[in-house]
Amino acid sequence: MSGVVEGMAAPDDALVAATLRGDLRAFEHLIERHRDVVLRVGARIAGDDAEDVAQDTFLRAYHRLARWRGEAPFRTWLLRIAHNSAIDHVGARQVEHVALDEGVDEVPDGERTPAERLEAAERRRRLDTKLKGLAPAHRTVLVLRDVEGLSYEEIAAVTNMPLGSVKARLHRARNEFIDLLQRNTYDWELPR
Amino acid sequence: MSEGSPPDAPLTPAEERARALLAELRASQPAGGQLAASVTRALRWQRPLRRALEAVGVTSGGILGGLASAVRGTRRR
Repeated sequence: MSGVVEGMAAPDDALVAATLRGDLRAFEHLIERHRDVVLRVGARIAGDDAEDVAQDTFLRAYHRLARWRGEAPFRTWLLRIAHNSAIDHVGARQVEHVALDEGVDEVPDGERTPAERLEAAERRRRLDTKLKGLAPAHRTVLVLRDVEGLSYEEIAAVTNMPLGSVKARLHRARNEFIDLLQRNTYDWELPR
Repeated sequence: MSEGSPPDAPLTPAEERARALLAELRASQPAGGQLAASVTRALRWQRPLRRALEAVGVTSGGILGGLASAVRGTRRR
């Protein structure tokens, strides 16, 4: 690998430049760095096809790498490819299942009792089910904003929508999601 | 809230709660530990193939360009 690129510590643009010089290891670092967010977004838009979506995303990204000019952050550019790839995979079929390992938590295992861990995993499973009940366009903006924490501007770039449309769609999506949450007996602790 | 209300308006308590619940999903760890390996494996055979196809494209483009020039030259004569 080039002396300029020091593995995972190197910024995205340096890894992109190294990849364009033929350094496949640099591209592996980019995959490792952005893999989780691409898989999560892929899983929540395309369900079971998440790994296919992720693989397709990184292959497309590699072949189009020279087109990334750095106007937008690499992650935004990559998520745009992931979004398009996920939409392609969804096609005409319905998303049936979201496969994510529920074993990892933000709160370290040692700080939660087994019962609390089970409860958190169950809540996430139910949330995933509820998310699947949303229209795909609503699910996409909600995942990008409230799950992945992207800015409105990033979401606009990823989904190729005007900023105002992103905000309006997100607003509708969040309220559709609240309606869905309120339609069962599980206690989501939603204020009335 | 209605569809026409300002999108930048402060979130309602219910919206805040929904947002907090969704943020929990960020903790889900996706599978796909072999992703980098499978992508680079695919790239290892795609790269030479792509180069070959590009070379064929350049060569055939050159041949076609040459033929087009020759045809134009013949017509002019």
